[in-house]
Amino acid sequence: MSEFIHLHVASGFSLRYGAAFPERIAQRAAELGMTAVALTDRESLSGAVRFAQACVENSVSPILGVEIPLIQTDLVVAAPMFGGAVADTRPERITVLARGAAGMIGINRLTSAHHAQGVSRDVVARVAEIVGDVATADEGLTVLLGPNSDVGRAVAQRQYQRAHDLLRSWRATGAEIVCEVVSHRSRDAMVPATDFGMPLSTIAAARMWQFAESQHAPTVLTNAVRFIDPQQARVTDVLDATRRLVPLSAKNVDRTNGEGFFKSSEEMRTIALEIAQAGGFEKSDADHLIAMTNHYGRRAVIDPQLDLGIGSIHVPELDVILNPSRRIMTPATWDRAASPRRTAAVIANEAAEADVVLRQRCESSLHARGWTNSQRSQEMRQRLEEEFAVIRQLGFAAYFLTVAEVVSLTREMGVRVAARGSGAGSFVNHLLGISVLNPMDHDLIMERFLSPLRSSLPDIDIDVESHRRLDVYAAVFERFGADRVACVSMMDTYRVRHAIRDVGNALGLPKGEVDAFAKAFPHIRARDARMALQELPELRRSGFGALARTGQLDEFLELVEGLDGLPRNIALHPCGVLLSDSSLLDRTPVQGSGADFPMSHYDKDDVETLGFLKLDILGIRMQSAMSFALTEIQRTEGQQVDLDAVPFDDVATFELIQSTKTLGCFQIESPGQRELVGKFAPETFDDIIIDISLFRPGPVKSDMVTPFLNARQGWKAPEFLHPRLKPILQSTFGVVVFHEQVIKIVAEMTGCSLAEADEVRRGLGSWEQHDVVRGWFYPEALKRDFDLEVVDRVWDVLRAFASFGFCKAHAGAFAVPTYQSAWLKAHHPAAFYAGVLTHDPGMYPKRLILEDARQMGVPVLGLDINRSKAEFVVENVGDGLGIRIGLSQLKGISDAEVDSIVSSAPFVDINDVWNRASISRPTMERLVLAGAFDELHHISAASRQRRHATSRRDLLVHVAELERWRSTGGARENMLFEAGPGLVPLATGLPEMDAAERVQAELELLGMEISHHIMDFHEPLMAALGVTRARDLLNTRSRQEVLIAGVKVATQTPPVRSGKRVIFLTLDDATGPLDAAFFEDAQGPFAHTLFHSWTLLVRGVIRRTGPRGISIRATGCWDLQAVQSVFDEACRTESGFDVSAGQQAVWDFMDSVSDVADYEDEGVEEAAASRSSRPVMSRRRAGGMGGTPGATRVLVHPSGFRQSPWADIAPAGGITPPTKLWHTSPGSPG
Amino acid sequence: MSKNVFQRPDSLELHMIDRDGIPESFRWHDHRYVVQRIVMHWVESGPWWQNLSRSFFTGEFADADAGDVTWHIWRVEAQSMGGILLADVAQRVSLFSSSSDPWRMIRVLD
Repeated sequence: MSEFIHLHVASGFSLRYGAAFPERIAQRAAELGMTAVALTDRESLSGAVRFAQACVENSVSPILGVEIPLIQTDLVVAAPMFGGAVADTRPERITVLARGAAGMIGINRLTSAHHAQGVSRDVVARVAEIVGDVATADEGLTVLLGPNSDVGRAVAQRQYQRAHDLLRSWRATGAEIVCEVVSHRSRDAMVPATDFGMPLSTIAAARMWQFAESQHAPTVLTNAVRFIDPQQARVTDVLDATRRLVPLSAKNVDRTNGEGFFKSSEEMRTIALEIAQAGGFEKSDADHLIAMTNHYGRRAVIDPQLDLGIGSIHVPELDVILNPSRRIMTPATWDRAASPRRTAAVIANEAAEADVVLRQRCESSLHARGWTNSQRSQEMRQRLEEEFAVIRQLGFAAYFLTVAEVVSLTREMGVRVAARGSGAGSFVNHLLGISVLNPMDHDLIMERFLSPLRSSLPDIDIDVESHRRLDVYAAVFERFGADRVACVSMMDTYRVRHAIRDVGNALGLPKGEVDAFAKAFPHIRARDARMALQELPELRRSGFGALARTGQLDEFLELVEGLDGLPRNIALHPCGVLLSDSSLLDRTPVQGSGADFPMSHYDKDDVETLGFLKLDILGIRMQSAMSFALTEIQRTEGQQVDLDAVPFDDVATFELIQSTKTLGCFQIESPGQRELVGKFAPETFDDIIIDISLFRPGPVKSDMVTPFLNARQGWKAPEFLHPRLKPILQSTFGVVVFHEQVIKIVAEMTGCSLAEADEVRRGLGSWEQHDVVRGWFYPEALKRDFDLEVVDRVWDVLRAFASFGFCKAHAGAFAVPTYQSAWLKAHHPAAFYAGVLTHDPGMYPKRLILEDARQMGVPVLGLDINRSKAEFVVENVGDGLGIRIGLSQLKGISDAEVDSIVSSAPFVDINDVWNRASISRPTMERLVLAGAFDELHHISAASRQRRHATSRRDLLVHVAELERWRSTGGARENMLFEAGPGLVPLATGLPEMDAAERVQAELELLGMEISHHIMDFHEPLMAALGVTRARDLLNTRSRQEVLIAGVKVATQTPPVRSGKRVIFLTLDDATGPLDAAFFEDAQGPFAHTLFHSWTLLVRGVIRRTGPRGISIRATGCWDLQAVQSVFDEACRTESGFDVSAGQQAVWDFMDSVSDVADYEDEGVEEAAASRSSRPVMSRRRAGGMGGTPGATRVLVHPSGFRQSPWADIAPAGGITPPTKLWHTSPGSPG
Repeated sequence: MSKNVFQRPDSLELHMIDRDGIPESFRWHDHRYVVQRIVMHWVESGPWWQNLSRSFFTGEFADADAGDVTWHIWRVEAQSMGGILLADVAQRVSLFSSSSDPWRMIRVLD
């Protein structure tokens, strides 16, 4: 049987069109015995690199192409309700295959041209231009004109003259023009011909073939593949509907059957015979058609190294690095960049010259730092020479100079910048100013970063202030030019929530139900949806779990799982920027991003494979927060602090860290880290490095923390495996924590170089290589006089270490902002909080940070129309400093309104604000409710007691009257009260808002409470129940049972050693944070309450883990509002207020309520039995939310979606969050 | 002219002899027809989503097979003692099970 080569295959990287993964396409081709296969995604080459790599792995030759639409402007429809997204309107399309390196340049440019110029360009002219630029006798572009091309559609409509003219214009481009026939055996005989005909029918294919013959045009057969197996056909229907932003219907799906799958050679020959029969051709013609297909396929096979560029290295030219005058290219010229290629000799000369420049710069830095005439300078020079030798050998000097140039550029902009990653281990990086840390001070080695045994470019990450990140991008583009710089892209792929939403929308299900279903899941893979419904207690016990058990969700979930991992959108990578020489735009297609920067189609892994210099410029909010804090210090205290010059031995800073009051500090604010620093009590900068390294999933999972702490606290003697290893392990008390330690152990025991030892370390990360490494390690170690027993023990440690441990250089780079943020908190707390609250760098909500500020003695000042600025600012309060809430925090206020207020302040009264600042009435009302006018109009909580005092409600009336006065042009006859310019707001007798109303308004409008803490309203309840407060936790004993209560600020489900799910809860009870862990035994009955309530009462058992180390193992939790209701109800007896009755009622309530979902199964069964599309009323068992005896009505939709019959009415009494005010890790639902 | 008989599928089951899914001969109106020529062959899928949407919304249990409606349709020229017949015969195939459905006559073309 003859082979068939598929020339037209779309993968999932044809966004929301194809359902196959590129790797699977290559694998399937190999399974079917095919020697070559094409990937021709729609307007994208994002899947090209992984496809080429998969082809190599499967011994299949890759063919690359791209499908380009010939869009007519009037066919494009933007959908306003989807944010202006352009819906697919089935434009005409051509498929372009690359032949050789010139062909790759061609399809890169063509794809960029499509994205750069959108719908207003002429593809034919562009193809001609590209062919003229790049094509050679053997290399260039092959254009397939298929059933969806302009020619194909003209043929389908029997407009043969038009088809002839169109074909002639294509031939005039100089590209290789081939007609493509496709048959999906569509129902041409059953459906009347439409304007476009049925392009995938056998008859249409035969007609296209006949036309090609009449024009003497070569013809190929393809199957326009969209999926690998017919079973995936339904998934493509969902993708069609999603792409077109419409529900599924016959007119909105592209396929009429499941024939667009990856067929075998035999199946394709059958298709060829059917088309031949329908077109009146001979069987031999069918064989010839397949032979021609294979011929054009083999001509288009590319070499992944030579043509695609895998394995090559490209950095900017030296003259570009050294010469700051570079031009900026506009988006319209992305695809037109001239790319004079440099010869190998030129590149070699440049490399040598770059070596010289690099050496000169490092020498200058040594001199500038005074490191030339000391004992240590000899060590430094030796280290420098070693690094130079490696850099010279690899030819990477230009790389270092480029990164240094970017860092220098950033500093010149006044933006805080810090290096992170293994690059901190390079002395050259330190001398160039890339890294603040001196690696020689912290025992960091270069080999972890750069090794002569690896030829790929190393990775240096740069942290900059988050709010200036795009400014830095712009500067890099301006400095190097858009022909050498592009942003890295990333693929947003389907996970469970998006998959549920898209399947639900495609099926036309109610959005509310679909949204509730999606949010019920944590952020997991779509393929794990069914398993999650079975295993997670909060899902298993929900209505959706009940539906899943009946099998009713099977087909829905099958579609959800079918979408798993498929790309949804291409997006700007949050930090990756790639730099290259002038050949950049010939080697990657680019398209615009939301931020207007050209973005490569390749992701971070692809650009590394392709040898681009990838620089991760990460926007770090903590850097912004620290920068803001420094500005505030200078503004309020007149002190200019150079944070990078602060010595790493400040006592106050370490005392703060040891006290565990580290909320807001970089890397050490999470519950786990606060517990760890409490046990560890870091005393030096290196301790912080160890602390950060220990608090990683690996060390935690492999229980490296306990032996370290035991040795550190002197509870057990450290074990060093062998005396010769003691110098390596001394700093970590015998525990292997760092990659660098593994490298040194291997080098010490085997005598190999550090570079070779790093390769061994990398090998340990792969199970497959363990035997190889072991086979080498044992004899080498035994030769160097280590006993077999020692070698066994070390090997066990190394093997266990494989996926654990952390790069010390990386931890060191992290430790710098950790220390700096703690230093700011210790010495300038008000400025620190202002920075943290303005830039929100951590995991906790602002309301917790504000509470922490109060705990640290920093007053929090409310919103004030005269004093507030856009951000949180430091303000003098008596003899101290406080933080003033920023105007930007107000819900709904625009930047223009903020600017107007700040620039017009101060104001004399509310009329003055109304007249001089351009503020809308809703914003004025929100300012009133949030208390921004309280000081101006002497409103306070005490005003409530004074009969004739002005209240916030009076001001609201006044704002309404001002609006009326303005709309009536100053006529006063229709006004209730006198208002207008110059008139003082009247005290109408409306009462001032009470404390609860104020807090509710603050939460709703500012997202944080200012006047009171939420828990203030629960004080009597907490006192009655004997709730333990955070400030008193240190006085508790191990194994003591306690009740704690507070506002939820975070739930996290990090990986733990047992492999089970543990939910870590953080509460804020107004005296500090409280952390509790819910193990699996406590999750079943309480997970739903835990995830879906805002204020919680938690029962738990204390475990003391050190002088300041306390953990609480939770044994139950209840919604605090519900408990409060039970308490209030029971306390109100005929004889008066009876606290003991309330206590008893709460104990009974806690005993009776183990979960709030008791009614659900019953409700769902009722709903299902009704066979109704409308929700039915179910009864919730007594003691639910309200805790009132009797039944509470709940609307239960058939899908299990629950809704209160009073859903539009806020529950009376309690204070509820207007939006989510707590942190949830990806493992948390909701 | 053609006569569409697809609306009454229950009464139009065919006793078909096929080879590898390709029709060879069948009985129709008491005559045995032998397929002389395959004029055309195509495949159709039904609107599976209608069934699924309805079942999810109303709480009815979804019938996985009911949504799986893929038909292979063959336009054949067949001859019997009584003359030549041009007809579309079809067989439903399941993507999710290996069992084969009976053949049906869906259209007779004059």
